[in-house]
This record gives sequence, structure tokens and C-alpha cells, in this order.
Amino acid sequence: MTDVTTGQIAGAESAAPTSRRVALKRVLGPAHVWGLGVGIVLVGEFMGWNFAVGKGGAIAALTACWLAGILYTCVAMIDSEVTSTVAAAGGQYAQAKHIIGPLAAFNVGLYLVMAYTMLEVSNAIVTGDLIEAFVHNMGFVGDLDKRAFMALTIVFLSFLNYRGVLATLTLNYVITAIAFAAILVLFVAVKPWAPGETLKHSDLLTGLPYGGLGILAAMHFGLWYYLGIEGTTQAAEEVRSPARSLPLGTMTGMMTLLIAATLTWYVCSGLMPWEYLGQAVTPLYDAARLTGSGPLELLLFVGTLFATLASANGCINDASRAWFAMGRDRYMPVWFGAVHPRYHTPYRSIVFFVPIAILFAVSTPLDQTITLSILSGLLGYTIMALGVIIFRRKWPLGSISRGYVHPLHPLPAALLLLLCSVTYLAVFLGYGTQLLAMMAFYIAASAWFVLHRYKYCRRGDQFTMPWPRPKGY
Amino acid sequence: MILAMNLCAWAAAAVLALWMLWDMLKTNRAYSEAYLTSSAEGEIIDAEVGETAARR
Repeated sequence: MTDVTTGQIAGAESAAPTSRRVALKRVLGPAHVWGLGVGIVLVGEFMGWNFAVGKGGAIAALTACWLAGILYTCVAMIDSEVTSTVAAAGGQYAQAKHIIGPLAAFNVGLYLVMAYTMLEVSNAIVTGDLIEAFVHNMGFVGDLDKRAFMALTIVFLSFLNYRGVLATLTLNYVITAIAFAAILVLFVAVKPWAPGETLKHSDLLTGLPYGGLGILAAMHFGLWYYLGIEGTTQAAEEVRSPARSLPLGTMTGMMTLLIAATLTWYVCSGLMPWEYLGQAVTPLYDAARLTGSGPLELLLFVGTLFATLASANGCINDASRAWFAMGRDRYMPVWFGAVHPRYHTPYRSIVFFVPIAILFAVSTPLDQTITLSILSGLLGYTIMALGVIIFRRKWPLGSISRGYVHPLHPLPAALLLLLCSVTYLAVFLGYGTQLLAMMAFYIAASAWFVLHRYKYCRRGDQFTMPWPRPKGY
Repeated sequence: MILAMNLCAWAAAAVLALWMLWDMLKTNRAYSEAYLTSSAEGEIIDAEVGETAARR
């Protein structure tokens, strides 16, 4: 194990005196950050985005794709600036704690945990469905128990995360690259330079079946192309050079996703009618099957599987670190703030979410888990936009060292707030009950925090960044 | 074949879950709670030190 205070390495495992401390391990570089961010998100190209087609047609889904791309570019820019200065395991939770205050931080921590856990659950559901579809396509007879593979996905990836961050995120980098390559190969295979030969956009694109309202409704699932890119910040305490690696990894990840999202839409909308595409579970895999090419079908099976595994892997990493950070600050029981002395991972937080994720995976429909994740993410982005405005006001440029400064402030924050508002309306149109239920949950949780939990927090220990007093204080 | 796949998946999940549970309980008993929860936000372990420690 590694002793932080003395720099000595202890060879034998034994109970250590309280003067020595344990910590997460800084081993990651920009490629790992890219792998973490894109790895969490790329699954959104393999499943889920197409529900936007069901909401408003293929053109509406493309419009939502690009509007969501603007939203997430703002998120990536804002996130990169704030994270380059607040390099802590809780990511946006730690940022909100320093910039806004404890109640905002508590809520952001919950948003992060809910968003990533539900995304992990969605990935497990798709893995089960994918394996079932593949097995049936191969001609095997019998009923595959999807729940077994959902549980195995969650447990196996939690095990990897338990054992260490470097191997986990190196694996993520590799399988994410393979999944992205699969999208590129499929794009080339359908010969986009020869319209009508494989892709039938002229026959399949039907305009806007629900008019302009369909574009609004499609924004709900348009976020699924990119949701999770802000997860790169959760690894801040494990990155060798946060000020450089996090902005670089996050922004290059966003560029990768913009390309992948557009290619995905183009391929799928040229092969499947919107009525089918709007409810398919694995649209890219289905697109590969429609080409009639066995190797392509196998490649997209592997790509979809890798994308779901990479995403679930990253989500377990991020959700556990957010919960761990809240436990360390006593916003949640301090028991969750433990670090494994040998593996340097937040092991208790990782194990805690395994049964919760499995329960949701075996009992909740995919569109519901996606919506829960999107809603929690939206709430986090809203706080993020407000947070960067406060951040620039309290600590103007030049007052603290920033590894990255995002341009055109406050335009990205204003755009982000506007697009979040539009998406709230979109979610309300389709899942109004769920939206209201989640709001009620977070309000109740906030009341619990204010009235009960906050008295356990060590208020003097909240602020850990070496910043000067805020302007005006 | 499908039955075997189902059983293998459940068995593998159970084994890994039980291993994590066992290791968690073992670690909880082997170290003091104060040490396990002693990490501080933003604290650094030099990467080379951390990698060397993992190999020993």
C-alpha cells in the first residue's frame, strides 16, 4: 500500500496508524480520459438515440442530434475550464461544493450517481438483449436468461473497477476504439458515395411526421448521443496532469462523438423506416444485419457489446467516485469514503451499487432507465451553467490558475441553460409523471440533507482548493 | 447449450460478487476505519510510487 504522508511503501498488510493516509492513484493520461469519456457515451450511438426517431421522425432526430451537440459542446467547454482548476474525485460534485455551496453539491452528487447508475443499468439491459438476439440469430434453440447476462455484466465490470483504475480504463480505451472503428467500417461498407445502392434515404426519409413538435419531443432522446461526456471529470484525482489531460481528453472526446453521432444517424436512417428505427433496441446491429453481410453483422455485434461494456465500465467508475466523494465529505455516511489500501479504489462505493444496479436492470424498461439518466444529467447541466457564471464572478480570470479557459463566456452558459429548458419541456411531453416524480425525490432528498445530514459535515473541511478569497468576500 | 450458458453466467456473477464481498469484509477487518477513510480531496500519490507499490 502507499503511504501518502511519509512517502514510504509498506510491504505487509496490517492495521495502519491514523497518522498515515491512503489515496486514489494518479496513473491516467489524456488517452485514458478520452477512453473514459467516449467509452461512457459511445453506447448512445449503438442504442437509445433512435427513440428520438420514434418521437419525431428521422429528420427530427438529426435536428435533435445537432442541437444536443451544441448543448454538449457547451458542457464540455465549461466542464473543461472548471475541472482544470478543481481536480477532485467528485467531478461536478466537487465543483459545485467549491463554487456554489453544500446543498447544490449534494444535489449534483445525487444527479451524478443517478445518471451514471441508470446509464450502467441501460447498458446491462442492452447487453442482455443483444446476446439474446445474437444467440437466436445463430440458430440456438432455447430461452436465454437475459437477467443472468445483465447481472454478469454489472458484476464483472464492478470487479474490474474494484481491482484498479489503470487496467480498467486501459481496457476501456481499447474496446472503445474498436467500437468506434466498427461504426466507421459500417459507414464505409454501406457505400455512402453511391446513394440508392445500399442506403435508401430518398425512399425512407419522410420529413416530420409530427411537425415541429416532433423536433421538440426528439430533444429528449437527442441527448443520448452524448450523455456522459462530462464523466471525464470523475477521474480528476487519478490523472497525472489534470490541467492538461482533462480538457484535452474531454474536447477530443466531444469531437469524436459529433462524428460518430452523425455517421450513425446517416447509416440507420438510410436502411430502416422510421417506424421501425424508432423502437429498435440495437439500431446499428440491426443496420448491419440488413446489409446481409455476416462479417459486418459480427463486427457490429462485437462493437455494440464493446460499447455497452465500455460505457457500463465508465459509469461504475464515475458513480462510485461521486458516492465516495460524498461519503468522504460526510454528505453520505463516511463509511463510503473508504479507499482500498491495496487497489486504491473506492471499494465500498463500488460494491454498494452492484445489487442496486442489478435490481433496476432486471425490473425496469430500457426507455425508463434512459429517461431517469437523462433527467438527472439535465439537472446537473443546469447547475453547471449557473455554476460557471458564479465561478467567473467570484474568481475572475487571472485571480486563479486555470488550465483551460473556455471562450465567449457567458454565451456557452446561456446556450446551455436555453437548451436544457427546451429539453425539460421535451421530457415533460413524453414522461411528465417521471419528471415530476424525480423532482419530488430530489426535493425530499434535499430536505433530508438540510434538516438531518448536514450537521455531520465538517464545514471547515469543505473547501480544499488553494484559491484566494472570492471577489467581493 | 442455452441452459449451460445461463448457468455459467449466473455462476460467474455469483463467484465474482462473493469474491468482492469477501475481500471487502477482509479489508474492513484488517485495517482501522480511520485509516481506510483517511484520504483527502485532491491528494496526490506520485504515479511511480503507486505503480511500484502495486507490484510489490
